[in-house]
Amino acid sequence: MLPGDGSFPSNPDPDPDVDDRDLAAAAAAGDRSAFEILIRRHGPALHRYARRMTRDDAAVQDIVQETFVAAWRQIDRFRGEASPRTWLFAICARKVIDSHRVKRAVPLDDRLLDPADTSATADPFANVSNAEFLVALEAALAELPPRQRAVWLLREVEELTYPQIATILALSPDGARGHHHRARTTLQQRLQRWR
Amino acid sequence: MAIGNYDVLSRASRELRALPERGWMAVEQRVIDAVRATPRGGWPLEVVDPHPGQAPGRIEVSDLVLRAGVARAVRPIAQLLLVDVAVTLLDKTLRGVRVELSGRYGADLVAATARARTLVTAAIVEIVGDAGTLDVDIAVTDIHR
Repeated sequence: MLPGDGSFPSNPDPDPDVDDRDLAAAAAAGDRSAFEILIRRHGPALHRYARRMTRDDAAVQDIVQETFVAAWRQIDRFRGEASPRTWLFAICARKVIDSHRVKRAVPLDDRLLDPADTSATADPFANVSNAEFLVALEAALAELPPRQRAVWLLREVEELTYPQIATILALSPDGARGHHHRARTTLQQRLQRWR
Repeated sequence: MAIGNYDVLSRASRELRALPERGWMAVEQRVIDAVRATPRGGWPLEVVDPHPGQAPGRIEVSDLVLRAGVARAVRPIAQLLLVDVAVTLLDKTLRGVRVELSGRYGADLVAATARARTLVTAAIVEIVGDAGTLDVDIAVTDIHR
């Protein structure tokens, strides 16, 4: 097995019970091990967000890496007005904009779109349909304007609140709600055949 | 597959949340390595030479080393969450350490802070070599559930 070939498990969170704010305070004091727990805990979500907001893999990797490097440099100024997760997403969203690569995202390769249920008892016809649905969904997301896409992803995939999304994207909560509504309307039209 | 009448967008968000983020696995170590290679500025502080006179010069560590050691020392105390660690220096001499903590609601915070003081003092001695004249301030400044 090679790292990155899809079969190599990511390092698990060594202590899922430790609070993010506790880790952020320790990292601010200089504790790299605490910061590395934050990286492992929130890296997948930031990568997921950056991947759908940019067009190429190299840019995604750079954005995520630069996000965490910037966070490490700045964390002694983190005062906890937002949660560490919101704060990291805010840095990541700025890095996405800085990259000047906010264009139409490329839908995922079919091989990456494994159905959620891969157990032996899963219905193969349902799985094929699931993969098709995900391809259609990624294509529909890629067609959304970047801000609508960002708001929809943060709300629906990362399950953040409108005030948190507003903080991340420098919008008002009502503005975030409006972008979400427009994204939702467009996606419902694009995915009509899956109703 | 018939999807039924439930909201297709509910399914969309649920499916996206369930997908493993495989691209992350490929870059995780690269990100961690990049952070490890990123220095943070700190203030130098003199520590006690464990073998005085055996070698010229003096030993200094960054205040980040001390603050990180103190942060790690209090992490095992389940009733307390770290809020901040601050150090007071006079030139390069450590004068004081203040540890701000959040206490769990309903916990025996007197016992917890006493334990924190013991662990923090031990961490300071481990790093600096002597905590005899230091002002070690342990303060619970917030409460959490």
